[in-house]
Amino acid sequence: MSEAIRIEDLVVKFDNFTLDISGLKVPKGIVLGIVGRNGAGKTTLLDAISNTNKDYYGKIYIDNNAIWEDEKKYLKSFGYVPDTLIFNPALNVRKLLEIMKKSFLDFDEQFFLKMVETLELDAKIKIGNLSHGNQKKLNIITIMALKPQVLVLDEPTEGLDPVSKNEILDLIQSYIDDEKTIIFSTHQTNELDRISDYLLFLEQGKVLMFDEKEQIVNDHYKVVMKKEQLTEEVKKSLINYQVNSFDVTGLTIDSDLVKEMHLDYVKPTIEDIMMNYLTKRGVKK
Amino acid sequence: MKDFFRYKNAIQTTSSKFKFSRVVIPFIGYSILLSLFTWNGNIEFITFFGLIGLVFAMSFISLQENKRHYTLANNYPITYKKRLLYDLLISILTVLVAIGVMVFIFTIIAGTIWIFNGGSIDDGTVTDETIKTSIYTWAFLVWFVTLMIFSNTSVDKKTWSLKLFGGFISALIINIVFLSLIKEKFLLIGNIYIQNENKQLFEYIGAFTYLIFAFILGYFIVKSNKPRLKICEKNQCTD
Repeated sequence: MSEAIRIEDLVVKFDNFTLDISGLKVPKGIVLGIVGRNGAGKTTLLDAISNTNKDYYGKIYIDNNAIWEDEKKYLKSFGYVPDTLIFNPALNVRKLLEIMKKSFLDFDEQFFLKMVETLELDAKIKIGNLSHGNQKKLNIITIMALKPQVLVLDEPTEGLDPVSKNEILDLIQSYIDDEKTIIFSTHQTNELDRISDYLLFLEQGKVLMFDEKEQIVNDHYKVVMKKEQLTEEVKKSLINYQVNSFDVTGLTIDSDLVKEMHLDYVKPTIEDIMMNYLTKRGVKK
Repeated sequence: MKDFFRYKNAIQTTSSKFKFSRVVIPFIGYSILLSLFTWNGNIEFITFFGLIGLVFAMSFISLQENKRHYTLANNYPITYKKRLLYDLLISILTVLVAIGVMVFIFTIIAGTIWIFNGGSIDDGTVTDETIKTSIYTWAFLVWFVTLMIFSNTSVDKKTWSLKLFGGFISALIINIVFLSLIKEKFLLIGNIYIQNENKQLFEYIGAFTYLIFAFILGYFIVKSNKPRLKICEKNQCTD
């Protein structure tokens, strides 16, 4: 499988935060979900990929193009949808369409019009007067109509109602094919469960985990044990655990522990995994 | 040429969101500096040259402003050289339009005064100094506009304000020292400009000094914006 994005020795420095990714290869034709707490580095990473922030060290290749080698090819290879409106709010959808047709030779007008109709966007009113959700949808379909090989979305469903969220997730899923790749950041773990093929966990600017979603889920066991079973040795094998009134629940990747202690287990959700990795160990419920 | 018009259209899709503070700070500096030049109350320098300069600088800044803000224009797929050239052309066009608007407004004002004055304008309201376009003033303007653009395009977030402040202070010091040496006493620029008997020498040397600043700063603008590979090894980040 060829790579949509390759990152080598990426360092982005701020006063009190550093994003440091030594290596990352994102295959083509997948949906990659980036997850992490606030300030983990999700937007910082997307800003570097999308050339919004140029103050980084290291190498980023999109579709084998590097910005310092051929900026035209690099900029053409991706489309970025930030979490804010990217268009002049004084325009309406019709006027935006006219300008986009004049500006970009490969703008897919048919796709755009079809999407405007499907999503019931009012083409006559000013973009600034569209609802927050509709502005987000307009951002996404306009960038999609440029047919980028790699579509990068920063928290595409943040602050939306469940119906709008669903529409946007459907839209994202409909875009993917063997050659097209989607990268999106989110706080919503249920979205990752629903549409992502790969997961990238970021924590304090570092990669905590990067793999296929199924692989990550299959590698982990959500176990339940009696309080007496929670010895110091067992604690070491657990990624995290919570002491409840009658028992202890925990997360582990140690399959031997599960077998030897005959522990009850279920496959964890993405939220289970995220919470266990990112919260304090041994919290009493 | 088609590329240029497509790029110009792409700019229309964006909203002009640029960091206001980064324009305000240089603007204040600009006002202070020009106030020194216009010590004698020759405020027209600020209004005329200032407006033209600001229109150019702000239009160029809004085109170049791409830090922490994504638009279809600043990531439009063209080469860096073309982007610079097109931005320059658009800025010049903007200035021409701005001059047209200013001339139109001034014509209306002058026309109104003319009508109210019964068909005459007091010659005293328009002096040579008002419309004087000296090399010195233009050179200063080029330097300052370059400085403003630099302050908005410097890639290093931590030091942009330091560079701006440093450039601002250095220019002042160089001029004060240089001009004080000529007059063999310490004087501020405004005073010396008014008191200098050999204004032409003052203008040419001053112009040269500022143009050198403009070229140096301009070089850094181009250098800092050009996409380049930066490698960071063992936590020691270097270009």
